[in-house]
Amino acid sequence: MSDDTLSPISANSLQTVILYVEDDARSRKVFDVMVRMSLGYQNVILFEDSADFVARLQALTPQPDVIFVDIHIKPHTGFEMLTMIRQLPAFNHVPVVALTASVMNEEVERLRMAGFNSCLAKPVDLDNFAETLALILQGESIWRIID
Amino acid sequence: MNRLKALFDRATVANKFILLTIIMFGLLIVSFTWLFNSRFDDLVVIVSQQQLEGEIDSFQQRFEVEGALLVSGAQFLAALPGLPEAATDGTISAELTAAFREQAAAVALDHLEVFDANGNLLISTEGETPSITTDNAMYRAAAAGQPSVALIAHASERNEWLMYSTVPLLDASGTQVVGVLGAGYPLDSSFMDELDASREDIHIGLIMGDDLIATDSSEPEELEEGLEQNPAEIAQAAAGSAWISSALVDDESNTPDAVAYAPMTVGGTYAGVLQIRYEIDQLSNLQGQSFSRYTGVIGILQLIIISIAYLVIRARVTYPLQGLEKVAKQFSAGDLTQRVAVANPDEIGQVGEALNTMADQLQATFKRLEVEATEANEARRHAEQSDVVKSAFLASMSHELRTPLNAVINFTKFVANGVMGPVNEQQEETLREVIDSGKHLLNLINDVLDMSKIQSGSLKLFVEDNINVEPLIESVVATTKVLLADKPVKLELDVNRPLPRMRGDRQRILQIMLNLMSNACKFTEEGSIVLSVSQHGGELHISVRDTGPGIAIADQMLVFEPFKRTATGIRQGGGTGLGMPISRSLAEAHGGRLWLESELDKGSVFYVALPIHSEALIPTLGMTPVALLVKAVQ
Repeated sequence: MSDDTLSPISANSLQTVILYVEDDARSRKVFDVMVRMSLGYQNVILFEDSADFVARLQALTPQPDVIFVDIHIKPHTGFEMLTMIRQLPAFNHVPVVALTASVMNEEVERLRMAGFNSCLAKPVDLDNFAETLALILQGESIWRIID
Repeated sequence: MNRLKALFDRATVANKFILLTIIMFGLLIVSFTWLFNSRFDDLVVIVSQQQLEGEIDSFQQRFEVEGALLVSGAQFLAALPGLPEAATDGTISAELTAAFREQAAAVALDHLEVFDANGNLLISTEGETPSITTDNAMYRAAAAGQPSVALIAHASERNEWLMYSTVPLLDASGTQVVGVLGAGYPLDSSFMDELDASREDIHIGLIMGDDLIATDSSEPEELEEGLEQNPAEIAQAAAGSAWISSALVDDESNTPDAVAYAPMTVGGTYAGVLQIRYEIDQLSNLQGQSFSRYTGVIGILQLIIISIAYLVIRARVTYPLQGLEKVAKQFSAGDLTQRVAVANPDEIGQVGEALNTMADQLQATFKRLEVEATEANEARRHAEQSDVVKSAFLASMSHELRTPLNAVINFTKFVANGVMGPVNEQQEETLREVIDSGKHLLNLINDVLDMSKIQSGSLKLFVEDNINVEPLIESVVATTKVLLADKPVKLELDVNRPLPRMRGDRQRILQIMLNLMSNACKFTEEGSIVLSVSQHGGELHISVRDTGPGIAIADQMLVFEPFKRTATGIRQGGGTGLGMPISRSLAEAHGGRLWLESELDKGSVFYVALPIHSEALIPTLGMTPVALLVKAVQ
């Protein structure tokens, strides 16, 4: 399918600040290339691990509009990170999206119960990412588990 | 009748037996009674006959005795002093007459006549009509010196008879007959009463010729009847042979009588026929008593026998049967440990033995089945565990295989799109080839992983409610257009709006449609492909009709078998042979079906029917944490 054109996103949304916490280098690279280089988002921040997460998070300026977290990451798992984020009043409204390669539906339910706004399967689907992101930023919950 | 039969069938065994025994005894009693009565009657007749013979002899004797008494009485009177002299003289004084009468009264004699030597009446109690006259045979006998006794009719009253005796009057020397004395007493009821000693059970009557001249004081009417009814018998008796009845006659009080007619003699002369009616009441009473006694005895015996039989049956039949029933009931309640306590080797005992054996067999069988069930459970648990392991493996494999491949595809896309810097046309084309190959490989991996899941039964649907099918259709159409870019094949859409919202796995529904469409695109070189979507009752119907080469009927089975491709399919190249089996499994996982209609050279139509809202599918999120685990359909 030839769909490699940019999706119609308004310019100021390209300013959306996106944080991605991922320990797999390749996945980080893919995300970075895709989101920043291909889709044109200017503010893409990558964390390699979750050490000192809260401090590093609060140190970010501007503060992220959306946070993508890999669930299986150390030292703090995605669940723990979510809890930390929610305890910061400044980040209460920020959508937190879980990225998971594990497709056990028990885990999906756990994610939902934990309070994640959305959940996407890894590897992220490039073709739909822009649309998906737009929806998430609009406050929609996306649960896309592709088995 | 049927109701009685039903009642009988329902009765307990013991009661049945009792009833039959009672009936049997009843019949026994009835037949016994009949036999007894008829035999008894015979017996009674015989006894009464013997009795009557005895009575006849006795009456005969008494007649003679009476006669003899009369004669001696007369002789006593004849010996009155002075009487022979008076007879000789021919006159009698008044004093002698008075003395004579006094003497007569003393011996209770009546009907007296005293004749002198010349035959003149000296004394007569009968006045002008003496009992006998001189030309009477008795007179002449006495005149010749012989006393006689006989029955004579009364001179003036025909129906009155006397027992009369004549004796000679002898002179002083006792050798010369000087006169005749006659005396008698009437044969009346008191005479007869005396004769039969006033017995209640015997009625006698004396018959002379055709007349009943005397009866005892009881029941004379019957004796009269006898006269009318039995002339032949009376005649026979008069001729000299006694007749005794051989059958019993009913009298007025309905007790049977025995009857006899016997000739009597007195003093050697005929004294008429004595009719005897002998009441055998006593015998009847005896019969009745005997009968009651016998019946009573039989009745008591019956009671005893029935009681014993009842107890025996209860002990030997009813209780054992109840024991059998109890154990059988316990068996059906599931308790196979009980056994029948077999007391007797009879049929009931054999049933008990059979039940016990059966229980033993069942227990053994159940034990065996338990073992097998345990083993089966073990095997199942084992299989389930291995399923879990397989699922986990497949899940991780899925991730492990796709991640690097996605990286390949995505990075190549980035370069081809010029994100990493400008690329020339040739470079772009080459990179597109790489991307296509990567996507193809990804598709293969996805198909193989799907097939593995289906075949190991680990396929899980991600079920949502309210799926809008429109965007799925749009996506499919967009993809198809790309696939058909170089071919003279027209894509037609036949969508029947409004389309319902579905419950199902959105991604998988898309997958099914994409699969059907890409197959159609692959195999159709020219003509058209028609995608139809509509609602039919509770189902969503999707069909893809192409104008391709069609599939021979013989090959249609192969279409849905994994890894099999038809000759045409191999020629067209591409594909894993997994698309159709996977799509069918996905459709069936939704509770729907997928099928094909095709003929060689006539194109093909693939149909899918999916329930719009299947209760068997449970939405993955929000209801239960576990999505539906779908068993593989091979």
